[in-house]
Amino acid sequence: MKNELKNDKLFLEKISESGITSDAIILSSPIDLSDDGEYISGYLFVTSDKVGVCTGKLPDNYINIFKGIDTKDLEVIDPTDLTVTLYDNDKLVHLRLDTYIGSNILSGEYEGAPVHIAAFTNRYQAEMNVLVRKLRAFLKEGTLPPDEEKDDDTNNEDEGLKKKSKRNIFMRTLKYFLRYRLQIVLLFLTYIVSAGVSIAWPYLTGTVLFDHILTKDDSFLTRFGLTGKYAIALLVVALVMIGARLLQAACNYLQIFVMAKVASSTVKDIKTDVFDAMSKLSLNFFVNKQTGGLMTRVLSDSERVREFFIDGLPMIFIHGATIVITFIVMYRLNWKMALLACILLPLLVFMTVKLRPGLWNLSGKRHRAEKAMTAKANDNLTGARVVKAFGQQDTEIAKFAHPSNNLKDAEINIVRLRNRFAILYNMVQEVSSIWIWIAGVIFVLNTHEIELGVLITFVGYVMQLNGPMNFFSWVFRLWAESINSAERLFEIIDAIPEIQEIDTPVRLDHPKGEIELDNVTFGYRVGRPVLKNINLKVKEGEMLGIVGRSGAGKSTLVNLISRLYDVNEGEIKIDGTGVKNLALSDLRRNVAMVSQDTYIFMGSVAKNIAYGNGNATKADIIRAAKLASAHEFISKLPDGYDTIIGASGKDLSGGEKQRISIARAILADPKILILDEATASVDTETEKAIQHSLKFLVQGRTTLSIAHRLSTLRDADRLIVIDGGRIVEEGTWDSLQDKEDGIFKNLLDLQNKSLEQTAAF
Amino acid sequence: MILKYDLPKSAESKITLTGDERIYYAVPIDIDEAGNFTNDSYFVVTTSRICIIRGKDTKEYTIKDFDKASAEPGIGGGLLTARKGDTHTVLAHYSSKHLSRYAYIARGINILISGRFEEVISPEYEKMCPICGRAIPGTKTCPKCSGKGGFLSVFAKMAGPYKKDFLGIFLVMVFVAVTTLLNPEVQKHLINDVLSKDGKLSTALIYLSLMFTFSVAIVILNIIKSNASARLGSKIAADLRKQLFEKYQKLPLSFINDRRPGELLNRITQDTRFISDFMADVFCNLFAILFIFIWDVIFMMVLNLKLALLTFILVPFVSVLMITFRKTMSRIFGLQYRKNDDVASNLQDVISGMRVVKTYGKEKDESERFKAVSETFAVIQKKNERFWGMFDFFVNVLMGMGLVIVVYFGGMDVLGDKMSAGELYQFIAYTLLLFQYIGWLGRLPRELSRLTSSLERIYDVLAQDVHEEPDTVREIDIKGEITFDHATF
Amino acid sequence: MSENTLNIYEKKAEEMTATHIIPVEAKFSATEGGFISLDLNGKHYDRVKVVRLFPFTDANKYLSIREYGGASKEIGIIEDLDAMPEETKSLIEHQLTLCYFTPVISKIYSIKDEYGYAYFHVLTDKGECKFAINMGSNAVSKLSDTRLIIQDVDENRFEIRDTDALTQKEKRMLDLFM
Repeated sequence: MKNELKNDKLFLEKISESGITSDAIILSSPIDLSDDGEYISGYLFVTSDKVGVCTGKLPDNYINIFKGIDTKDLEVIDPTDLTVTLYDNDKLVHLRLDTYIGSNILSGEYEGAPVHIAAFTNRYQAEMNVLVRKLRAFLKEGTLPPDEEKDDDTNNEDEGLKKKSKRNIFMRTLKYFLRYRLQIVLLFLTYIVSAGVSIAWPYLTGTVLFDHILTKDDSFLTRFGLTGKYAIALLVVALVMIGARLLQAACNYLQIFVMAKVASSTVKDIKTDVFDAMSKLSLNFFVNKQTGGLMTRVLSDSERVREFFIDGLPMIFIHGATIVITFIVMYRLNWKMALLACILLPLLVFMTVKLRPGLWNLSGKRHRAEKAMTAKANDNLTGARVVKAFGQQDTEIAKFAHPSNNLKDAEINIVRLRNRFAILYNMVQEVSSIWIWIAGVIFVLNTHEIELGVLITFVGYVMQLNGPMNFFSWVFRLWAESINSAERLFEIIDAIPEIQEIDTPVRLDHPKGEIELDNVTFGYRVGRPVLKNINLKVKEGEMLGIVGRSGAGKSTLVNLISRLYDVNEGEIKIDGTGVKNLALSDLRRNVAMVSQDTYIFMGSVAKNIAYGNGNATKADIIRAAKLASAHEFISKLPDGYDTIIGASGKDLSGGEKQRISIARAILADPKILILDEATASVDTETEKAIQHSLKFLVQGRTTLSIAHRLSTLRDADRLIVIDGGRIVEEGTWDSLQDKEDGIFKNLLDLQNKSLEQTAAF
Repeated sequence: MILKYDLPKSAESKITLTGDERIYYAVPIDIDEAGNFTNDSYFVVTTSRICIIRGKDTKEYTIKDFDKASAEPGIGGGLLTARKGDTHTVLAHYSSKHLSRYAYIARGINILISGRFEEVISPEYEKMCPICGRAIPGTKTCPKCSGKGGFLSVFAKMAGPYKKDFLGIFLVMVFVAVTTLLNPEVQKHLINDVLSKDGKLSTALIYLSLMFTFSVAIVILNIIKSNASARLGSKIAADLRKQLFEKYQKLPLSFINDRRPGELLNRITQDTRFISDFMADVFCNLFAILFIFIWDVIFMMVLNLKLALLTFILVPFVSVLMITFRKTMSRIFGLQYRKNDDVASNLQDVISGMRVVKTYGKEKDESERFKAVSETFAVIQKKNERFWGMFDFFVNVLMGMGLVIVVYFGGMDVLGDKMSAGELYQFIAYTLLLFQYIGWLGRLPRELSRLTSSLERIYDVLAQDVHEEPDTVREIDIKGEITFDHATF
Repeated sequence: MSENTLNIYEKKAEEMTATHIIPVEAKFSATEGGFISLDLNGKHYDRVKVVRLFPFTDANKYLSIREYGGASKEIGIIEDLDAMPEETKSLIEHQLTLCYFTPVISKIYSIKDEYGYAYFHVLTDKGECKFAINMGSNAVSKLSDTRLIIQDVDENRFEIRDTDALTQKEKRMLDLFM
């Protein structure tokens, strides 16, 4: 993959033909599309007075490599037919970078006419964004802007340096379990005893019973002093069997008893560590990921790890020990038979290792088929009204057939494949069993090498080995999955949060609520700033209204003030101190935000409202609820303020949740109150009531209010309009209303007009 | 829903009806005036009167005296009130059990007040069976009392359309059973005739090949039976899904809205899945195992009656153990899964509301909370697994005892020449089979009852009456004029 | 919008967010129909509703007194019932028993479970009672580690004030559901 023009001799040669040396190039970025959408290889480069594009055709057998592919072993094929196009900087204006589906085009105006400069796929989006931004600044001011701060991706790069070998992960996970050293020692003892005792049973019911007792073999019995006392010998055998079984069962129980504690505690430890680490990470981490995916990490992945370490690892020891001991005993009894018994077993292992994986894929398929069918049925039921209103019942029935039949097929296929595997597997098992019988019979009859009892014992042992063999076939997969899970978990535990407090943070003891934004630039992604050079000063106790179209950057602005993200350039100061230097807890305590995201956790209404203020009295809670116009609907809930809401509690409407959020913010009594579309889900009457309350609340408090409904901002001391990431208008309501053709005025007119129309209707 | 209960004689005698007066509604009042539970009070509405019977006392009101009646729900109960002008009067106080009932009755009273004589019928289902007191699982009648419930009738309904497939599978199961039982017999001959008496290799090989054939046959037959059962099960499930889905399209909106959103969805997804799983795992072995079990017992008794009876002593112990343990286990593991769901919902809330958590700086608090919830779950998980371990322990020991009995007493018989060594080996094999299948049979009652519930719920929906389109439908050009004429809803 | 409309809205907003405390002198009286009426600040309310704002954590504090009918607007809040005169207190308590019915379980005779439902046979402070809960749903809510509210299939509520006060046998029976 090409990255640096400076390292590409072929292109540098071509460019030097136009008189430009490598040193003259101040900016460059690779590109890969031609004007007509074909893949090419090339660069866009900038010198002090020219912008140039150098491209070359790619041969037909060229393999285009995108991100994530290992390029070590690929041969390098050079492009041909290189061409260079040059533009004079002073004749180039209005640079535009347009993003389409899968492609991006850099265009501009050259000598008055539109010109298409270069095109590239998303592969080089990051580099080109940086280049264009710098180029624009260069063309405007004549100097290059400094490099931006570290971007988001470097965090991951740092982690990549740590060698994430499987072994490393295994050891780290093991540490969690090693906290219970005593229990593990105990467990090992029981494993050994268990394995030892498992030998006894087939031996007793085979060799001893059939060969020695029933045949009245005195030579054997004299060893125990039981000559002639056959009945007693039988009794002894019975008692030993009982003892062996009790011992084995007791060992089993002990194992489960101890493991239960170790397993559940360890998984809890892992889960809480992951959650703890996760909660410390900054908002960026959460915004880009689906909730479901994160939940899977905390819950399912930890369970998967547990499965292996609890069910898998110990069993490896038990079964391993059992196999080894069994073989030893078999050899001691009759090495020829033992050898024969072993021959077929590897075949079993081979088969299972090869065939089992297919099964897991099918179970995933079934799961997806079931999800699809459930989704379709759910859609139909929740939208029953719409279906009936449009009379689409028959269409729905026809559409349901497909997912339902898919599920049926998936179910049948799983069973079929499982059985196909079972046939082969069981066949091999039966063959090995019969094999032992044949060999045993030959030995007994022809060569008189062994007795009947030994044969029966061997049959017993071989059958007993089936379990462990079976086990080893799937434990490998379990291991792989659990290591993957553990890897994902450690990723989170190791991640370094972006927003961090400095070592000696400044405390905010008597907050005044003065906010200052100094030349702030910020973008969620590199090279795509959402806010550009924002300069703003908010006095203490002032109410500032923020207006703008969707996506203009309003919410981003307030996110920065509460330091949910850090600025790329510039500084935000509260009471004269930069937010980066303030103690996070003080900052959070004095800045409260009500946004569209409501967080209602499982707990009583009272607890939810008192989230930000644990010491609130009931009277305070009621007062806050009243001011947020939430008291009425709360009183009507079956258990009033004690009603449990949240996940498995009572469901609230969007407006009700929002009012609880507002009550929460009111109760938190912050110096800086941020309202981001806080009254979007409530009706006008309720909104008016809330605004009324806020009028009292905002006294002595700095309030920033973002709203689409301009009427909510009527009481603001000052308003700003943000467009394209910059503050374009600023002033009081009246001054902005009078500004002809201003964005604010246009928006206001539009809203008033539609209001009138609604009123008239 | 019943709005007119049968009054006991003592209550009925308190009301003397005159002329064409008849009883419209009669329901119990289960809270007395002191606020305690009672079972001797009734609320009776006749054509013109309201009679409130409390034990020996009766209070009467004339319906026309009131302007409006309302059933006011409270917390854990409700009030039936009547209004005249501005005066409200409490007529009855009842528990939540009768909330819906009184709502319909209030409506009925209002109809009578306005001078009309329609009787209100409630289409809602009872939640508890008035006869046996059991909860009704979302069906119209109590499955126990109405007699038409029961596993067999419902199963027959489901299996009806697939008679041939069922028969086929049944036959395969018979074969499986036969081969499984014959194998030990062959082994016995092998041991006795050949090995003990030092017979010929050729005879031994014949027996061995027989054994092998049987073993292979067992494997293949099992596969066939498993495939066929699974296919049948999936087919049945798919057909039921289709029928349910079509029914849902025809049912009125009120039916759908009256129920919890998950309920109807579960019929299509969970109940059908259970049926298909049942067929694939349980049914496919059912008859085979029953068959084997029965013949196993018979063979054992034929082989050595005394020994068989001795072994059977353990069977009731093991069965009782299985059944009680399994019942408790399903309950405690059900609780565990629900707790797990709580943890998951909690987590989901926090992660999706992370922005708010961070703005209030509550990350640490949430960590603590999550830790507490996880700990509770861990404790439950640990307890449950230990309980399972205990169950496992007893099962292991008891099943082992069976074999010990056979070894000892059977061995004595062999020593006393009452039984041959081969027969002993055969007997041991049969005993192992017996105990292996007791475990399987132990789960049967529960699986059967779950299947019955699922099927009942499904057929209840399918049996709903639906307004069918008359055949004489004609096309009309709708112009769009809508008129509301005394419409009430 | 005209100035008048704005004022009306302002007034409404004021009403909606103000908290009125009901003073000790407020006159509550029993009506013949079994309810209570209120005379306060010269206004007479024929029938008022009493709502517990914190039924579990503070059953006798913060009672909301509301108009009956319509939007059932709040008239005021009684901060502490125990601070009110005896007569008022008993009137209000009687109203509360009409609106809130949560028997408190004092003895558990038996709990049987069958096919997903658990059948309780208990003795409560309101008499003996049998009810069934659906084990699959969230029938048992934990208010605190020792206080439970059990909801049966009809949404009747039963309270267990203190699980520690139960006998060992009863606790074991209950354990299976917790």
